[in-house]
Amino acid sequence: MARTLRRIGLGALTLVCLGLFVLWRGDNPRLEALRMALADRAAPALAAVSRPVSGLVAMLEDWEKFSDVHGQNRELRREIQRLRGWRDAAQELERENAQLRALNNVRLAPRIGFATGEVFADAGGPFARSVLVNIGAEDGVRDGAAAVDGAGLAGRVVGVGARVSRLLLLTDFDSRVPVKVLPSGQRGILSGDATVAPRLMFLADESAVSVGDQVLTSGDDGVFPPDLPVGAIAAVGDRTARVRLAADYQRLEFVRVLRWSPEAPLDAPGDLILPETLSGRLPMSTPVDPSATPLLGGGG
Amino acid sequence: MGGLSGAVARGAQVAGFAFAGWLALSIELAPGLGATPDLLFCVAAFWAIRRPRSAPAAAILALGLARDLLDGGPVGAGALGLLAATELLRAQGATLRRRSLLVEGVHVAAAATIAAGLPWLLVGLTLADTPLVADVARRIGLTAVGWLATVFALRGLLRLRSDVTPADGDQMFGKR
Repeated sequence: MARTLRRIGLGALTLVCLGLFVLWRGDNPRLEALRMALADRAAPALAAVSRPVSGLVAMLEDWEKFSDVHGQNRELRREIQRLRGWRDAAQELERENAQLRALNNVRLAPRIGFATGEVFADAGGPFARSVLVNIGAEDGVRDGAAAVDGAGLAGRVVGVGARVSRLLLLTDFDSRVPVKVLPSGQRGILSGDATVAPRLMFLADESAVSVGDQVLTSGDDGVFPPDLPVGAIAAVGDRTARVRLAADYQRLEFVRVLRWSPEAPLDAPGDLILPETLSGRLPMSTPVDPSATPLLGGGG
Repeated sequence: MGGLSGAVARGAQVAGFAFAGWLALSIELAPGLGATPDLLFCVAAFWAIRRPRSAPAAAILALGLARDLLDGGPVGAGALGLLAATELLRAQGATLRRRSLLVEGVHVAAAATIAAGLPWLLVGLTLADTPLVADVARRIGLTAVGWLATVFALRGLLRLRSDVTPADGDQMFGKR
C-alpha cells in the first residue's frame, strides 16, 4: 500500500514538473514573475553565500598571479606608458570635437541614465547564460534594458523584481541583438549560441567585414541605444562571422543597466495641432476686442 | 509522546537536508566560478543513498524547482531530471551501501547523466535550442568529481553517517 502511494506521489510530482516545463516553453509571463519573486526573496541568502565563495575564488586566482608579480609589474608599466600616449591623443580629439560641434551646432543626444548593480548569482549550468543583479524596479530598471560592464554590452534585462533583475547574457541561446560593423557599416544580428564568441548572422556582404572590425549596437530594434561597443570580429565565414565580446564575463562583478528610451516617432499630430474633427468646429484664433486692450485700441 | 519526538527529530533531519541542499545551490550559483558541478545533485545523491528518510522526494523537487527558477534554466525539466536521478539512487541505496565507493561512484555518475540528460532531451523534443553536448558532458564529469568532494566533506569532515541499516533499506523497498 505504502509503495503504491509512493508511486502515485512520484507520478504527481512528475506531472507538476512537466506542467511547469510546458508553461516555461510557452514563455508564460506568470512563470517569469514567479522567478523574479523568488529571486527577490532569495537574494539576501544567495548573496550571503556567494560573496565569500567568490572572494575565495578571487583569492585563489590572485595567489596564482602572485608568482608572476614581477613580470606583471613590468607589463603594467609599459601599458601605462602606452595609455598616457592615448590619453593625450584623446584629450586633443575631445577639444577638436567640441570645437567642431560648436561650429556645426550639432544637437547632442540626451544623456543616458543608468543604475549600477552587483552580480550576486550566475547560472553555471549548460542551459542558460544569465546572471542576477541586486537592482530592480525600485532602482528604475525596466524590462528589456541594456546592461554594460566597463568594456561593452553585457546583455539585456529579461526579468525585473522589486530589488533584483535577471540579465540574459549575449552568449545565451535566446539572445539576439541588432548590430553594425565598422568601418563597413554592415548590419547583422548577433545571435548567442552558448559559445564564448557569438555568431553574427544575416550579413549582406561578408567580404566587407574583416577580422578586428569593431561591432557596435545599431539601435535598429529601438530597445538598445545605438553605438554601444559590443566587441570585435574574431572570424569571418560564409554570410556569418564570430564576434569576440568586449564584456569580460569571467570577471562580471558590476554592471550598469541603462535607462534609455528611443525618441518617440512622429506618427500622430502633437498637442499643438488639433485633430481635424475639432479644428473645423473651433475658430482658428480668438478674435481680439481692441477696446479691451489699451495697447491695441489706444492711440487715437 | 515518543511519536511526537520522533516526528520532530525527522523534521529536523529533513530541515538539515534542505539546508545542505540550499547551501549547495547557493555555492553553485556564486558568480565567477564558470562551469560548475551539479552540487545540488551531489548533496541529494549523498542523502538518497545514505539517509533516504531525511530526503523526501518533495523536498528534492522543491530544491530542483528553486534552482530552475533562479538560474534561468528550463523550469521543471531540471527538477524532473534531479528527481528521476535521485529516485534511481534511492531504489539502489540498499545495494550501494554495501558496495565500495568506486561502485557507488559509477552509479552516481550514471545518475548524474540522467540528471543532465533528461532536461537536455526534453528541451530538444520541444524543438528549442539544446546546449552543446560537450557542455553537458563536462557538467557530468565535473559532477562526478564534485560528488567525491561532497562525500569527503559530509562523511569525512561532518561525520554524517548512514541512518539506515541494510535490513531497513530492504524493508523500505519491499524486498523482504
